[in-house]
Amino acid sequence: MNYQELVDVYIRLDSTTKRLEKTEIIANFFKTIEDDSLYDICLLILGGVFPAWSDKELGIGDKLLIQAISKVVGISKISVEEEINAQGDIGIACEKLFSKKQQTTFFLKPLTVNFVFSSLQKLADISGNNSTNKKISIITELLSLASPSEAKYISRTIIEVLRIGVGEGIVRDAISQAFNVDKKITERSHMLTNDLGLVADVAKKEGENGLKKLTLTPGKPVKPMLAQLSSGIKESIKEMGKAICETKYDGIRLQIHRKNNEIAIFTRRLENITLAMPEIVKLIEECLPHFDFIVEGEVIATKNGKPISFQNILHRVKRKYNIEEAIENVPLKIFLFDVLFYKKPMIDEPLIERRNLLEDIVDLSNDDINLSKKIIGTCENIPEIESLFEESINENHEGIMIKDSKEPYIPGLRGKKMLKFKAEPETLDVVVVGGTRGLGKRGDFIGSYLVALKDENDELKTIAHVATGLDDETLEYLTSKMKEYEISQKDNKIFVKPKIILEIAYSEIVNSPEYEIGYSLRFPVVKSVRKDKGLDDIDTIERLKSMYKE
Amino acid sequence: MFKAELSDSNILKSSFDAISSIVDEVQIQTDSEGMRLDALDRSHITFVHLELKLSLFDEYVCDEPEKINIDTDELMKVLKRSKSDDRVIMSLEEGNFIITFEGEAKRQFKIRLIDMEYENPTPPDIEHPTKFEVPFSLLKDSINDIEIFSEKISLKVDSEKFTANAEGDFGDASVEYIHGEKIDTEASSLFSLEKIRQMLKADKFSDIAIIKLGDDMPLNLTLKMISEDGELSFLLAPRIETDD
Repeated sequence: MNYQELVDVYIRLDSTTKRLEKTEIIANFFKTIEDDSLYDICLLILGGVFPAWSDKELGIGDKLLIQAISKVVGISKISVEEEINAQGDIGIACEKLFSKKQQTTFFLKPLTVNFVFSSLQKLADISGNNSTNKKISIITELLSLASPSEAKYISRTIIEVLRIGVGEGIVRDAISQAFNVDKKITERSHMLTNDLGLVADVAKKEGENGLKKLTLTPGKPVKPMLAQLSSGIKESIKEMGKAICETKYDGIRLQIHRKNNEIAIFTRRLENITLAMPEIVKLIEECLPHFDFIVEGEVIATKNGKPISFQNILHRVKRKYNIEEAIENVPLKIFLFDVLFYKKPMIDEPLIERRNLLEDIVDLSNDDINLSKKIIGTCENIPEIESLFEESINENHEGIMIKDSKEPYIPGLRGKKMLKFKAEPETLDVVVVGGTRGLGKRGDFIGSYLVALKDENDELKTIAHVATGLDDETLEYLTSKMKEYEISQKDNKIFVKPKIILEIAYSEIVNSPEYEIGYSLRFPVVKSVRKDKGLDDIDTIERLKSMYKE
Repeated sequence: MFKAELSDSNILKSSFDAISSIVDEVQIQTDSEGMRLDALDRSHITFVHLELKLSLFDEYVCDEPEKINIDTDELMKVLKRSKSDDRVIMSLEEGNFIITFEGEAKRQFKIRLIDMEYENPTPPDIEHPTKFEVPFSLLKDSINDIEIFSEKISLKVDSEKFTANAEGDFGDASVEYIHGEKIDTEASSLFSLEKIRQMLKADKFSDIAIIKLGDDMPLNLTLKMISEDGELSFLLAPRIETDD
């Protein structure tokens, strides 16, 4: 299929904000695909070329792209930059520049979806000697064959900001609609494989029965099952009847896979951090049987055996050098709490069975590996659970988890069967989309950050400016990241790719016409930079509204 | 079996100095008549054609046609190591292109062949209205003069002279050369200076450049050995000025 056909779909998707319409457009388009490009198209519509389980990235910065654009169009890099600043968007700038391109070319063969897809995939694999030039030449080849509208979307795809308001939910629904399969089944196969391209392919070729056969495999991370807030210990336990109550540790949630003697560690964002945690790999190797498995747990940083703040552990996760030194400075402890795969998929077993299995297979003789502290809660022993909570808070943990003991593990689901009860007031996870340069002593820094939540179509809507809660070090860090992710600048304002996730505390939610959402936050304060979270993890407008009502 | 020996290593070094700046991967084809290469750069702006005929080599053996797929940067790194009085011997061995320099010492380099899909590009057949010769060194100097003010270069020819000029934001430059050939028409096209500079890296191939020009047409630049044993030619797509 020619890439232009996909671009025409992008343009139609761009022209509506309605979720149902978008779903319809994609579903109808899926039905027309006759060749083998469905997989590629699925991922390209989501704005990438790798499935969610893969940690590959294109890793192309604006500078490289600008260089390629300047080559193809035949104007200076400065002129390209000027156009981008004037348009405020690299895609639109590209389209403008390409429509008045001066350099002619030989042989305009049309771009195909497969060619665009495989060229982009190649970009991620280029490394070493002369890699910058090789990357530029691949981008140059793509762009020199592109029409102005194709150039717009290729450039956006390259810098990984497609901006057509299509998230995984819409594509999933479109797959169900196009190939006539139950939404629940599509959703489940998506959560288990984390590859919507694969789901679409199987749905098309084998229908519902094919999808039902898809399951999780060690080596490919799955989205974790997520917890909602519990409104009270007693209430929640009553509702579940029999609950597994555990300490909620203030660390990082890990998914640990073993496949063919290879251990891999993933974060909740499905990032592979195996290399940053060699001691955990060693622990797992020593303390779990040598079969294929997937277990889940929380890793915390300790000092003299006591848990210390969550921020410390981030230093470990992001660490690429001097890992030995980091192991010594920030020793880790792991608390396992679930098993998703053990020789075979376990997710459909009730939680209580999975927990029992975990207790059977883990050798706890080493102090650094534990199971989460657990008490079975029923209506009879509520005080016991309450004291688990108090103990947890006294030990600097976050609170407790309350999980229905009968339930299967449903990846990616945030439902009522897994709850968290915390002492701290709720915070919002938001993404930075822009900023304003500071005044006075903050003149060198971006002092104020424009932050956004996502709506039901995964589109970002701004909610507030936040400027407090930042020490000099964090300011410096954020300012450098803002430069890295910059899309455009105007006066003292800067707009950036949605990459930086902040955890924001506030005094109350208020009505406000000033921001896109219609609400804003009073006295917003940055509590932390959530380097462990990504765009998928930010809070939704829906959640904000439900909190407003409370 | 393939083996080719050249007494002058500069021919290869000079050709690939230009070729490697234009294309990153190429396929060299060999048969009983010699070695040949056709390539189009990734941005589809420049065609390169290199031909080294059997008669150019001191020794040449090619039992059956071979396709040598190679990363031009890697090849260039090796060719840069040649000394001007070295003899150079090319051969093939399972997965490797072997280059041997023979001078004071015998030095051998094996370059890995690469996997690539390669469609041999055929340049469009273009009838140019003008054809004339210009000393290679003069052409190269003109580029350096023009470069001061602009990244575009306009090449013009009329019955008397060949003109290269550029108009930049900060100044203009022009170079005129009386060609002394019989040309009864005028032609002019605009080109990317960088692209022309890439071609002119082949400065030891020939003293004379044969140029073909038309109005808003591709530039054809051919470097031919006097012996006619070898030819390196380029076809460069023009830039077309729009009104705004």
